[in-house]
Amino acid sequence: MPEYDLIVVGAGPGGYVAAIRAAQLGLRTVVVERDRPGGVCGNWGCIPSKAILTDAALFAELKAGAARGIVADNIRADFGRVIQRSREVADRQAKGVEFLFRKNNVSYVEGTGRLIRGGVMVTNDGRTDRLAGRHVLLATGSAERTLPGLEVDGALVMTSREALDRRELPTSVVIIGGGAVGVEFAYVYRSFGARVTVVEMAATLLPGMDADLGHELERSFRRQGIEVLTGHRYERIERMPRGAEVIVAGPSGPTTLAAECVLVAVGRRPLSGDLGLEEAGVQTRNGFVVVDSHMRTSVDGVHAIGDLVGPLLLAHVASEQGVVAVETMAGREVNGVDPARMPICIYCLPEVAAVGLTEAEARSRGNGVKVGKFPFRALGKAMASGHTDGFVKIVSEDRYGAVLGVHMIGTGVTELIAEGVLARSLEATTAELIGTVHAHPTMAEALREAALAAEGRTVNA
Amino acid sequence: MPSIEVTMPKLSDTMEEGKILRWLKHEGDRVAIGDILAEVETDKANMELEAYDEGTLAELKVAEGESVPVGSVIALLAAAGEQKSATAKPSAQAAAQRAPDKAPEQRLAAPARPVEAERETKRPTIVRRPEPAAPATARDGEPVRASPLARKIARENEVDLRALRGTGPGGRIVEKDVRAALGGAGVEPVRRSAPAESRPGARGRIDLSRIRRTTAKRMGEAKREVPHFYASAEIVMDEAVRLKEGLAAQGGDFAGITFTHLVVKAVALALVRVPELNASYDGDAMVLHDAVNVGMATAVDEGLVVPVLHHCDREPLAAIVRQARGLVERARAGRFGGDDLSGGTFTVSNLGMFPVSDFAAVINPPQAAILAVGTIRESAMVREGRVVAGRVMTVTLSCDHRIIDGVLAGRFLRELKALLEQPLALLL
Repeated sequence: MPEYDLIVVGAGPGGYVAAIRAAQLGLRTVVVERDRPGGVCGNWGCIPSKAILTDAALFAELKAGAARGIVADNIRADFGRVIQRSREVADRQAKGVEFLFRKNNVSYVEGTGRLIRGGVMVTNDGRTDRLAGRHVLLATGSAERTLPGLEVDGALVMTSREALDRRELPTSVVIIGGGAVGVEFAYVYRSFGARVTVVEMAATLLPGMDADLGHELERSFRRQGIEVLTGHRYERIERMPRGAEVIVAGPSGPTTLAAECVLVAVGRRPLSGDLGLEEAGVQTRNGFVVVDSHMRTSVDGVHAIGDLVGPLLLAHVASEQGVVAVETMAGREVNGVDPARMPICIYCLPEVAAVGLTEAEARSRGNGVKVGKFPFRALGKAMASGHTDGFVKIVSEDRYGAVLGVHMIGTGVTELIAEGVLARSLEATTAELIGTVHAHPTMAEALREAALAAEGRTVNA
Repeated sequence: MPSIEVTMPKLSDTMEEGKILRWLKHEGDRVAIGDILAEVETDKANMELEAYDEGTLAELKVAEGESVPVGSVIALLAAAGEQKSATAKPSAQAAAQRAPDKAPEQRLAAPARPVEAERETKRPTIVRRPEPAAPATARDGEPVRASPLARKIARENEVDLRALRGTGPGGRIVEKDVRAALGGAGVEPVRRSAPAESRPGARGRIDLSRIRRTTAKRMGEAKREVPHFYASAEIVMDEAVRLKEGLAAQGGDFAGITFTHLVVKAVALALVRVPELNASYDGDAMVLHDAVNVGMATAVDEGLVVPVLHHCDREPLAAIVRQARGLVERARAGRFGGDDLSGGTFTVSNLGMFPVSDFAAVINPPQAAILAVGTIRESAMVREGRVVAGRVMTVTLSCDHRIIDGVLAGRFLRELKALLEQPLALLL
């Protein structure tokens, strides 16, 4: 039985980054993966969806070009080719991870891993193998959730997993769930010409994020022709000869929405069921593995990261948790992962990005809060490029000006948020943002202007 | 004008730098040999710094609270008879220039002269007061690594950032550290339901004391680098028990005598007979020590220290008892002086006050061996074919196998056993 220092179960963005960091630290490392490297992120999430979103944005921009003198007659989209390209991107991504494993001398085993005493049992095509290891890192991730009555068949009812492989553009879609996945697909399908309705139970799109972001996105979506039903709950589905009728209940009673297909985007569930957690004594809560700030579970030598532990189901959070877990087991002193320093990005247009406390969260803590908000329409670069939707909002603490949260919506804000994350991780205050000269003309100037606004010193608005 | 440099002495074998906690003499004060100049914090303990020369304290070069490496000049002493005056301040550079062949006397490990001279030349004559808004910096010019928010909170609440230990990335001082210094109020909670801070089932995290950190580092090194082997012997202690009781009853210098004192004296005499164990491993050489200085592993509140009894082979038992009592008192009070912690060539660790029958100790590098002493217990022994009752003690010698072989360990234990079983030799 081979002896490893570390057995990683799952080769997604959490597991593969952790494995490579472990190898760099001199740990003999093996990764067990049942599908292929890259996880949901590389294969059925972040990367392929960004390929499609980029194409949707390009198509939308070209269609709208006439107003600015770019006339593209008879422009049309080949949706099948768009999906095919996204699959090619995902394939390259998976091969890239395999290459990184070889380069870093990380062993790779195909199969399904299950926790056993002293290691992991791997099952592949009915064959079982036992791997012995001093540490085990569980990084099996999560899968799409669905709702009762909404059995996923890939044709009438799909999740993001099926949608990412669906090569025919539906004429109409009802999307249940107005979170990150729901709004991204709403933007894609609408940009390529489908009729789209987004149903969200909460009062705004993007529940959990700063409410101003959801309101602004809803306004922008309506202008794009996307129907948004917030405060509406999914009731049931009636299958029709062609498509379906979805019955939703809102403040003013039930509504029936007819569509060719339904996309369920109501969140994800941890893949913790078949890991042997209970037998091993690993504590879980609602299916999520319970860990401390250094990703240690209740069992010595067993660590868990990523979607498996929640609550921020994001690739970069999993990667960071993986590094913290591995450095901790290698005896290094590292700080745990602070959720209030993790950026959240959504890639529809306008893009949405945030880090830290929302305004409501900051106020609920009872401390004095200052809010500075700067709209892109007041910014030279935004006017010049024609991307005037959205704003930057800074929530700061009123005594020292500590930056508590940064919330952005607009073109390119998923890149701009890095400065907000840096401000959070350096414990910067509005004074440092104001004291940092931002090049003119850039979209990034909006961040400094928002900090000025928080201090009541706004210049350009 | 001769002036004498006072340098930061090496007050323990592991000391790399010392922090001046408090100057007990000030500029202009007369100093006699043996006067306590300052209290110094080392990696292990707070110790007193004695004057090795007499004269007038001309200049203090290190401020209270500041740390400097061993060997750095911390003060200048004008030799006896010199007067300190503003115009004739004996700067080291001026002295060197005016009388190059009569350079100031150097004591201990002062840095080379040119370095000091250069430092003097570069010292500005006009010192600008830092602006109030300037970031806090340590007095020796090292910037304090702290977040902007931590600086603001510290400034408003008059917290000295230099006194804090940072827990942020790379030891940076962050908000949490300043708030903790202020009494732990208002630490920012993290967003959403973060996992519990402490590990499920763990009781919490205790920062290690200075002493504990040094111990952790050195014991780790010792166990990784020194190939230990162990040899044990049972020693019949009936005679030693009788001797100790007799001496204790006698009082005087022997008041408070313990078995540790007897063992230390016996170890010192055994080391004279087997000098290869009074040694250190040094790369391609084995260094044999002349002096027999025996350290006693001593538990204090902050961890483990090893005060050293010097020249145990030559000192009579009464002197060892007296000195050991003083050392342990100073150890418990955390106030060591002079060479209390330095120069040890062998260590004794005694757990005899507990029901520990025997144990193996980790060597205290660079020493070649350590003796672990168990409790004295009643035991049935076979003597000349008959079972008799007696008191025995098990000792275990841990040796650095790079320079000590089993035969040497055996010879040492044979000598030690003989000395303790016929302990009158300890009084000679």
